[in-house]
Amino acid sequence: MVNPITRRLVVAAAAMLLAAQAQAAAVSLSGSFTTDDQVQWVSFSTQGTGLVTIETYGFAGGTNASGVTVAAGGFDPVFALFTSGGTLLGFGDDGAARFDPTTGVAGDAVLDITLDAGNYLVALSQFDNFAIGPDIAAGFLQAGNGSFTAAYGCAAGRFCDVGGNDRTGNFDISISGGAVSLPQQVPEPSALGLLGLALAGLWLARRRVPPQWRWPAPDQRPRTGN
Amino acid sequence: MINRHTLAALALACLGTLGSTAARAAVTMPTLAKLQMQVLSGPAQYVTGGDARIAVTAPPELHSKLIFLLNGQAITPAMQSEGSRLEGVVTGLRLGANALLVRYISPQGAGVTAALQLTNHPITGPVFSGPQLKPFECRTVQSGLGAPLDAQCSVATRFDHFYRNTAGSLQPLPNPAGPRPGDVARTTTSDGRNVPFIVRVESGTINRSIYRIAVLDDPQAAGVWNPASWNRKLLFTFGESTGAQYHQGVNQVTDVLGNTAAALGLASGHALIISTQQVNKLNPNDVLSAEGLMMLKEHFIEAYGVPRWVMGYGGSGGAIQQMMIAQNYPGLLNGILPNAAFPDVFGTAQAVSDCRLLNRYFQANPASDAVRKSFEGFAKGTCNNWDLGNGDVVVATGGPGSDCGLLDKSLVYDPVSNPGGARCTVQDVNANSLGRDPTTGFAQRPLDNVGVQYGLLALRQGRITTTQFLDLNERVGGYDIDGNRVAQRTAADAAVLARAYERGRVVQGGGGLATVPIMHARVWAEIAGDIHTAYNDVQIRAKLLKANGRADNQVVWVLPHPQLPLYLGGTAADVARLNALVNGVVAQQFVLMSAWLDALAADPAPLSADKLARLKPAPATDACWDLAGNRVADVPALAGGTCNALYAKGVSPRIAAGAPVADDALKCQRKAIDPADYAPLVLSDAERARLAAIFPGGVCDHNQPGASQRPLGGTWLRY
Repeated sequence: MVNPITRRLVVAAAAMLLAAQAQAAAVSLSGSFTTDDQVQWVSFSTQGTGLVTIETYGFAGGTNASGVTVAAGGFDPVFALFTSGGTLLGFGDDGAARFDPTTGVAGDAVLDITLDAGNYLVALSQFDNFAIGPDIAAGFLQAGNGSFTAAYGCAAGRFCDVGGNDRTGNFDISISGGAVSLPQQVPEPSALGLLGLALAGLWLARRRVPPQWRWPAPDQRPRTGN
Repeated sequence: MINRHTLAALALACLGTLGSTAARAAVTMPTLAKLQMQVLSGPAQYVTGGDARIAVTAPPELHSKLIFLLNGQAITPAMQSEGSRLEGVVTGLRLGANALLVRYISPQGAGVTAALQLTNHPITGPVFSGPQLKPFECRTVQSGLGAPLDAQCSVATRFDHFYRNTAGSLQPLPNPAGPRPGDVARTTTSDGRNVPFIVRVESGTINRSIYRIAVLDDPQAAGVWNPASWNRKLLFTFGESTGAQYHQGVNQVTDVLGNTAAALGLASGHALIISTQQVNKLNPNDVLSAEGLMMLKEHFIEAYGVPRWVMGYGGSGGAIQQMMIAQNYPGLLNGILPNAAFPDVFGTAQAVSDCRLLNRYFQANPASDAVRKSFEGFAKGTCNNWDLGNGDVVVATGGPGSDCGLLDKSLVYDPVSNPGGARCTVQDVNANSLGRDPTTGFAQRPLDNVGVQYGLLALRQGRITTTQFLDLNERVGGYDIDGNRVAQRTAADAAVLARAYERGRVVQGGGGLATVPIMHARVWAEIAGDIHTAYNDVQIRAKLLKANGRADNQVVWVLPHPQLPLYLGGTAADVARLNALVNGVVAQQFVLMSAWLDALAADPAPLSADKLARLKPAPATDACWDLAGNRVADVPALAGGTCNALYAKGVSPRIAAGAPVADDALKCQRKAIDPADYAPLVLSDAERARLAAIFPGGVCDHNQPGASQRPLGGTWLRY
């Protein structure tokens, strides 16, 4: 049996393979959250030291790094980048110079970072459900609070931005750079080795975070892009 | 302690006061603004010493309500609020990754968070320079700081106070918060404050180097620096020469008060820093120097505050460090004053090693001054001075008396008795970026003279004979990897050459050099064999033009050396007059660079070459000064113009061999020997045969880039 985590990554990888090759090593993933506190994990590899750009597109829309047109309207995204061993490497929050046509806000997140060859994990979540850090095991600020953005005051009581505007649960994230590639597909039980210590980190996280957050819950299965 | 569970409970409690979800949706809630947080003290991934100065931008009414979380634990850093900005130093970072979050939770339970990832490194290094040099001897005792506390040569930080008395001399002030001596002078800072001339000097160790920080102080309480006298500008002095030494280096507490930067800026309120690591004769590894500079700047910002700008100052080897750091680690220095400049270590080492070969040839085969100059390019005596003064930088044993600067001579490399010992070459202390020979473990060397036709231009011009040309090129030889002269030419392999270019061990004018103000001043004394030859300014100009298509961020000034009258039949009074001239011009250089940096700091536009040009002070243009002290506007060039008529430039042996003025090829590409290249000279068959034997693989083709030459591969590289 294939580990659910691996299955999800493999599905995403297969769906995006052509796009990734055509766009010179870009990994993109889109999908939709159903609760505010969901966290979407994306795995990628780099083959050598180089600059990697991680950027979201779901908030303001645009053409992602795989060349796919993404609609605006998604939630306000943040993300955290981890090593395969679960160590926090960086945060992404805002910074992308694309403006949401409805609110005029540039809410998509971008991070440019130089990475060595290796496997990495990105945790995409909704503002302000930040990773607590400094490692995966510490979990996320809003874990277990599936409607925390209701306090921002939008009508739907879910997927509100800080301005109180209604957003959707949609997300889109791209990881690009000269040395970025998709994770290799390997059969179980080697799948655990694929992500190495990252999975150990995730396992630790699962032990420590509230049950509501535990991942991957059935309703958190991603939709693959492209 | 507040952790995520506490925060979640707090948020839920707040929500609970509002009732149901439906009810919440009907409530009109104030719009929240996102928080912003940034590191002020340096790059977030290169924090050192467990602390970082940060700034948070948030509405002022939220400042007292912000919650800081460091790795999930609540902390309460001392933060100062000014307008919408909150600034302070966060301490307690663990080694490695750290997560710093700042949060505000509204009464309605809405949270806004800003997050930073901070990677903390030891205060003893390394950060990005790679494995540290071994062996490594401490010099804390010799620097008056007592015995080292650990194997990394650390000491406890100490503070000394001095004051300038009304007679103009600096005196110790052992009780700075106590009653003041009656003869304390006063000074007016550049921002117009009249303050007592009291200086605090901080001494300590960072990145295994010994640093001193001097800044005006008007202490109101024991042990507390009073920032009122600091003009928020920082001068960093870089030290001279080139040499590879395996120790900490020595300086004294008063050294920071007695250098040129102190003379220029202390009285006007500038903070000053010196450190042993930024002395090129101790450490010619610019990556390590940049790392140390970054760490010292970080410490300064945490302890004293954010400077408006940082200006580099220093000549000769100190110019090398500024040029290389500005190219490879942009942003550390906002403006540079590389006086008596050379561009880099290995380009200069090429000229030095050429000079040693030529000098040794002519010692064995005496020739006229004119013939020597035809090959050496430089004025009489320069190559000899290079050979004697710096030629040992390619010698693994360090040459006579050097021994890598080690007190324990048993640690020094010896090919027979200690083949694993410390090697005293410039390449060996740069091994992290140049790479090592997998067989020997020795650093690879990006020096090469294969195919170089020494004296080619003079041969074409008839200034030397074909016999002289062939004989020297036949016998000039090269170096083995230990720096011993051998009959074969020196050959570098393609991989180390590529690394040297890509990783910035050669200044090619790109990287951060495109957007940093550069002002050179040089006192000319080539007539006396001074190694600080003015062609270097022209060479740097050519490199900037080649890399950036413009060089209007560089200003070149040439002055007569104050001792020059002694070579021209002048008097001591002439020397005194020229000393005054040089001091005045150097002060003017400092004032203009300060004005340039003030303007850049005050202008909110992003840094760019256009911005530099737009804000350059009008008098900051190329010039030289004649012996009478008259300023002459002139563009730096190898020949022609008034300034060259006053101060003729020698050139490197490579330029004398036909290389272009940029002189930026560590190894040339070669071509087949073409008799037409020697026109109007006609080589005989025997001469052609001899030439072919000397250069079996062909001769340098200066119309081609250097072998493996390529642009800088990036800035802020780590090893």
